Amino acid sequence: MESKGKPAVKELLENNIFSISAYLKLLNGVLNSFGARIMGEVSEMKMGPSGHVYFSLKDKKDKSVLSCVIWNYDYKLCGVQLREGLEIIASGIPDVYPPTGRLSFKAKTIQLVGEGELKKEYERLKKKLEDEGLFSLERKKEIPSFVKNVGIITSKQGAVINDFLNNLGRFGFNIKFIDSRVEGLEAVKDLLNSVKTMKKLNLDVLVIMRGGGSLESFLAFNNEVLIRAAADLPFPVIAAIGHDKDVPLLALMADKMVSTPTAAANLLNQSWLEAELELKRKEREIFNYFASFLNDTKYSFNNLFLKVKERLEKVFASFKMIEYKIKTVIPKILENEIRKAKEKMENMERVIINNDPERNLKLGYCIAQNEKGIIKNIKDVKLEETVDLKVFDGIINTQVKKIQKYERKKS
Amino acid sequence: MKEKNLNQSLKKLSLIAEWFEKQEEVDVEEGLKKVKEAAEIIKEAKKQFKEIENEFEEIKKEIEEE
Repeated sequence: MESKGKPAVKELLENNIFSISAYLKLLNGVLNSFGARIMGEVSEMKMGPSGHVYFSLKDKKDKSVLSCVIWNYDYKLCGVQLREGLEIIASGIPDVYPPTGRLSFKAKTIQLVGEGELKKEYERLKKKLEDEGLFSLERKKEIPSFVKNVGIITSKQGAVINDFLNNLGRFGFNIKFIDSRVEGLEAVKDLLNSVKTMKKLNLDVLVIMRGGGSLESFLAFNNEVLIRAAADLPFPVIAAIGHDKDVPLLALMADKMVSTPTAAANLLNQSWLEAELELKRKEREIFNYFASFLNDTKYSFNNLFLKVKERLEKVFASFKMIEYKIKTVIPKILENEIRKAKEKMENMERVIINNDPERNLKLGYCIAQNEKGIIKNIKDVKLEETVDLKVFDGIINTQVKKIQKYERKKS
Repeated sequence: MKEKNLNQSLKKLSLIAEWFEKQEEVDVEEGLKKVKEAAEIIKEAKKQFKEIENEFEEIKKEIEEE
């Protein structure tokens, strides 16, 4: 390529006369392929009316200088506050600005150099956002129960997304995933665009994840613009971005902060698992209650049955007593009575027999009768009257000759 | 909708459990009604735990630059 290209450019340059504009276009075309990361100390910094920032980067050793510019949007996005003397790494491409003819380095992003500066910037932004209440508990949204629509922002590279998905329960989650760089110079832009895209979706929760790393590799998650964009989402944010010594500011702002992708998955599973357990618990509880209900009823029935049985047994016992009485006592009483009656009758029979007039007639007694009937005393007869004497075997017709009254001694 | 139903189902089941807890005298007929109701709710709710596969979709971020 080089052996063919160089002569062609050379030929073009040698055989043509260029206008300034055309030459600069050609030059810039070449310069654009010289994208690089330049480290130096900021000097002569000024901000234009449109918010673009012009500054110089000075080589500490030989004082060489490179004019730089960073556009307003990129400057805001990079999250670094430029000041003279600050050591930075600027990432971008060089070009010649046609109106001035000056070469300048167009930085797309700027990064602080050295842990000290990073730490200072971290603390400054942390205090600023804290003072604004961005980390306060009051503004944190609750992670809803039974989450369904989940947004995921993380890098497709590495184990993070797999760890998360492997630990996520099968509860019918609807996952929208955006592959984003999570570290390096382009991470902030990537993450910011991802957050903005997610904002347009109908999500229940957004999970932003990455693996562990050094403070420097967390830079993107300490970016003010990104943090504000995430704070502005209508749904809660779960941050599973781990931390080194300092907690990334995005995690401090997040509605829920967990340390690993697995923990994030578990957090989403939690309400489902709890509900599943609760459902089982309630099922057991209600059926136990009902079983105890039935037992109580069975017990009551048994009790009732025993009472009825007891009563019936008493009744039966009475019957047995009666039966016994009927079978034993009553017959004896009856027998006694019958015997008594029999004796009575025998007595009576004896009396009757003893008093039978026939028997007396046989013994020699007789019955005197006149026309008026049986003669019982002397007044019943008159002298010369005919009287019949009835004896055992016939009647003797007699005439009254004398009537004599017995003289009875008074006692 | 589903998640709301699940919450409501759990609330209904809690109410039924409470009802049983409060009963001093056993009313088997009413108890049976409540158990039948609970069984229906549990059956419906359990459907949501029958391993529903998650849906996964990768979407592209919209690029926004100035």
